[in-house]
Amino acid sequence: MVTKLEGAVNCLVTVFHKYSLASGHYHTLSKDKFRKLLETEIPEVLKNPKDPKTVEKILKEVDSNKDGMINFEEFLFLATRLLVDAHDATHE
Amino acid sequence: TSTMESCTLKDCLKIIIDTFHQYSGQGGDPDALNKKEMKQLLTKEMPHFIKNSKDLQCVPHLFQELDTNQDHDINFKEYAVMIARLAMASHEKMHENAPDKDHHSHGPGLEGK
Repeated sequence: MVTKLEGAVNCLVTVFHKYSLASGHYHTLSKDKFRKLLETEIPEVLKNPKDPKTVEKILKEVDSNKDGMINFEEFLFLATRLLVDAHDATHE
Repeated sequence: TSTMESCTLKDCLKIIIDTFHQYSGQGGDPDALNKKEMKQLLTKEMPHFIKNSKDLQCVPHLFQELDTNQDHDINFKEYAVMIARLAMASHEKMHENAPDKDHHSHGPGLEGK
């Protein structure tokens, strides 16, 4: 029986796979799968009326090997940023 | 446990942040983990992972690696980097332990069998 924190770490794996396994290569998110993930898990990130190309923008920022897809490592890079932003918000 | 399948990104981010604060608030800088707080967090909150991760077993070494700004405290960003590394390691273990080697499948992660 894992602890809450261990469960949360493994949850990062589960969430990624919820979308990566849907179609195409099982360990990558195409732009469409990435959009689905953002829309379902963190929709507020997409609610920017001034920037209709938010998904593309985030994808480009996170896609460090520039292959147009998000692999698990790149997803974790995004998750780290989300963690830091959410943490900062707790201190506002 | 079946809750694994229904976990959301928001839920797990919250747990990761709340756990940090549970230990960082104990003394010194309330928003950073000193060595003692870090050791307590690892021992109490990741007892299964510790057994299977050499990285987590040597706390002084881990602390030094994570403390990139060298201020003798682990701030939230440095802790978040550790969490991401653990997720990578746990995912790799899930594939090492995978029951079906011909298709994508996951076995237990860092928590072990």
